[in-house]
Amino acid sequence: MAVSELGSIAEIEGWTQPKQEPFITRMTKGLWKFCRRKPLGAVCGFIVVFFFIVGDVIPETLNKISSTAGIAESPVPYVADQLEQTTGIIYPYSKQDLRARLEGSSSKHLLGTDAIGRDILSRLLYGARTAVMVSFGAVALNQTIGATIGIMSGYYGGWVDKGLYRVVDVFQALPGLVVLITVLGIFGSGLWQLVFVIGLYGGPGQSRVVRGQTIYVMASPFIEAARVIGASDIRIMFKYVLPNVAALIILNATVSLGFIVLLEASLSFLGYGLPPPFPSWGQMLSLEGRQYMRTQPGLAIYPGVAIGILVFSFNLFGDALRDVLDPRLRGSR
Amino acid sequence: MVTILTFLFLRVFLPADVIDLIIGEYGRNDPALREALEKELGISGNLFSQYLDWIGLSWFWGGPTGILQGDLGESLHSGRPVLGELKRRVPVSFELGLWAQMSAIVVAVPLGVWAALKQDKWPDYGLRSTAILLNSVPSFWIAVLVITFGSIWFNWAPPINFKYLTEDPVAHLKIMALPAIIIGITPSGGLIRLIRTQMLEVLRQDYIRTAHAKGLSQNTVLYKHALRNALIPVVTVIGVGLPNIIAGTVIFEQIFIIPGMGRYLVDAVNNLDYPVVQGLNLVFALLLMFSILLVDLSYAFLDPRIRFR
Repeated sequence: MAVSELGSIAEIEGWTQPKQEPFITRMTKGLWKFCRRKPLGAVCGFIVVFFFIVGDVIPETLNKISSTAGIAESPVPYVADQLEQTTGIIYPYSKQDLRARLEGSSSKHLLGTDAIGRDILSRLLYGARTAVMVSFGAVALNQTIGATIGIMSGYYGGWVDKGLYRVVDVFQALPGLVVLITVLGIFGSGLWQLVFVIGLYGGPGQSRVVRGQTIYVMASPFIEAARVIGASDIRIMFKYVLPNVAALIILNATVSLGFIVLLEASLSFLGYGLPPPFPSWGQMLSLEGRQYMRTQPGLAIYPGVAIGILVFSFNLFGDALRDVLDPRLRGSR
Repeated sequence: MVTILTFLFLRVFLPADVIDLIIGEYGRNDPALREALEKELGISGNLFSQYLDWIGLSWFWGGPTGILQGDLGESLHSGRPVLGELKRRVPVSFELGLWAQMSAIVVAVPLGVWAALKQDKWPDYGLRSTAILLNSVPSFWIAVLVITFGSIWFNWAPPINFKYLTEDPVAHLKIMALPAIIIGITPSGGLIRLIRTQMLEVLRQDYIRTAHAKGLSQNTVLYKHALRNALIPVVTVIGVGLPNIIAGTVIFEQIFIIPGMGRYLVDAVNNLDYPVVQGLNLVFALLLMFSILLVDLSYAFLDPRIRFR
């Protein structure tokens, strides 16, 4: 009733409220526009989302369902069993079939098997989970760190800026992989260690762009206005600066996603990734598999292709996103 | 600064583990033995004095020798001094990195220029997609493929016996060439794209038109006027890409069995051989800083405007 009353008053006053579409309509419209303008980028975006769903969402939700239903003690094997039964071609990642070692592709094992009879396709699919979780986790962490440092030093300036930037400089002078190998090799590796160490290491370097943009934003009048109405520093940083640098942070994130997938792959390749039997693309290419590649070349090909597709989609998606979000760089690459 | 960080990283958490590892080899947990070992390995006392020992500042008042005296300590595993080992290994890795960087530039510069000259024609599209593709494929995968299919099709395998440059230059270069080229592939993808962008920008400048109008030949304009200006930002990217190259050497020394710093690092980390790990981290960081300095200096060489600032 109140709504209709308001409407009538507005009509009398000759003023109508600007029509705001519901959030979902706006989102789909925006997405559609993005797809129309950047078809290639959109396709790659879908690939990324696909990997995310296959690698993360499906196993997680299935785990939740099975553990709340109390069906299995440890949820993952249950889910894997279900997958095996329903599809018939996706096996648990550590299931060995010793009679079918180093087989080529067949209807039972679409991409063949490895040296101890594990199905390569299944390991690739479960490996997507590792890649996606490490990259998204590490990116979330390093963007948080980067944004915090960048906004803080851009906002306060002066000695805060100088102090923080000494730290950033030191982090950037560290030779990446060497430090990561040292830390992971000595403290042991695992999913969370990988996420934490990669995220922490990459964080400070991400802050430079954010700092630059923050300084640019600080010069605009709405910051002054916010200060005049008595907003606190933290409020200004969160409500006025952060939304204005958010586009940059998203760009940084998409660009570093691909980089981190490669980094994780090289770490597992050298043996500092997830401990076996957890599947990881880099580790599938590493030494233990290399001696059998002569007999089964698929071992050497498929994991690399998987990494390539994922990183390629990340990169193209990032490029497309940059073209849309950052007008200065439009069409320059 | 880097020394402090390296030191803190390793010392705060590590020493107990190493001692446990070594004591485990003796087979009994004897406090006296533990103390003696700690003293011998230079990890007794508080952190600050340990750090002074390692740096070698405490040498001035009668402590053991440290980095300032050119002593990086000894390997816990083999007992050999770290410095001597590094003297053999640093040149190898450095050389590999240098070749890799060179191959990246040698590939990327002509291709980037070509893509810029043929803008929006098929060589441009082809090169750009190839460049993105190269950027997103892990270089160690290419190495694995080369080794696998090299052995399947041509019955070829990378040589196992490493030859030093002084021993047998030809064999040495044969060993180094392949890893260097493959390490260079990943950075060259990014370089191609950057050089293309820069060339396009520079080619639209007025002074290029002036140079053409003066009647200079196409090649002179291209190489003396355009390329030189287009390369300035490229130098930065080369500097930024250096950690990538270092990472490449670490991985490829594993694959191609080259006795450089990377292999040393991986072995040392696996043995918890902390003097070696500390020394290596230091050397890697110093090398990186040195190269960045070199890149900065080459700015001045390429762009006279910076020299007058």
